[in-house]
Amino acid sequence: MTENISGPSAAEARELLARAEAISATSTNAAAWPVAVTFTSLAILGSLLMIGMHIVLVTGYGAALLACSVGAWAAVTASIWPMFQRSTKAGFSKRFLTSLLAYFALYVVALVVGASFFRDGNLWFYIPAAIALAGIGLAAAFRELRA
Amino acid sequence: MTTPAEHPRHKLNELVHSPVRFSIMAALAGAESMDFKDIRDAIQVSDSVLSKQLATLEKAEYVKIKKSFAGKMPRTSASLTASGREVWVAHLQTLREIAGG
Repeated sequence: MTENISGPSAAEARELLARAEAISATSTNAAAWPVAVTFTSLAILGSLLMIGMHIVLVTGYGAALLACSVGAWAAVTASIWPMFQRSTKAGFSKRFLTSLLAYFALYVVALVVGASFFRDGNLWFYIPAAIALAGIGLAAAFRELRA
Repeated sequence: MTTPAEHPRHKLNELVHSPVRFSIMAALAGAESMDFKDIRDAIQVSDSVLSKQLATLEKAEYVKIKKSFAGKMPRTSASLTASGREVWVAHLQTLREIAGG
């Protein structure tokens, strides 16, 4: 569908390029926020839970069970949420899935290591685990905002 | 005597060059998928104009339209096809050539 048409001048072409860039950049501005909120929630949830796990383990309750059930709930919620998004930025599916898998892989590792080796609690493990989960969640949130 | 090089304007895609379709393509280029209402708000046109221009782009296979339901509410979303993205990139490249020269 390429035909000879009266073309734009150099100045008009520059204006069109600027317009294309502006529309492209702003059309999905709002789309990143739900994803950012999802990953920020995961960052808060996971890191708080690591501290909670330490406290509950010290007091002898079923912390691992609590962390597993909250983790499963978070995974289901985080997976369902994008289905309600009306518009998404270019490359969203790949970014979202890799960020989500990275987060939950770290969550499971932290949970298994914590439940296996630090049943009686150990702040030297649980605080770094909390920071790592907060870090990966926030990194995913900023990744989507910057995309 | 050598033939002068063809002016880049001859490579502009007429279908994409129309103002509303240009804006639709620009909006979709930055998205994986966009809701009809979000496109309408982004490029500030009426529903009927957007609908007509999307249909033209869909017919040219530059845009893929997906219709679904959220409960009882119909929902329409659009995305660029692979060929649509190629055409858009080529169109912008042509504009850059014109702008540069």
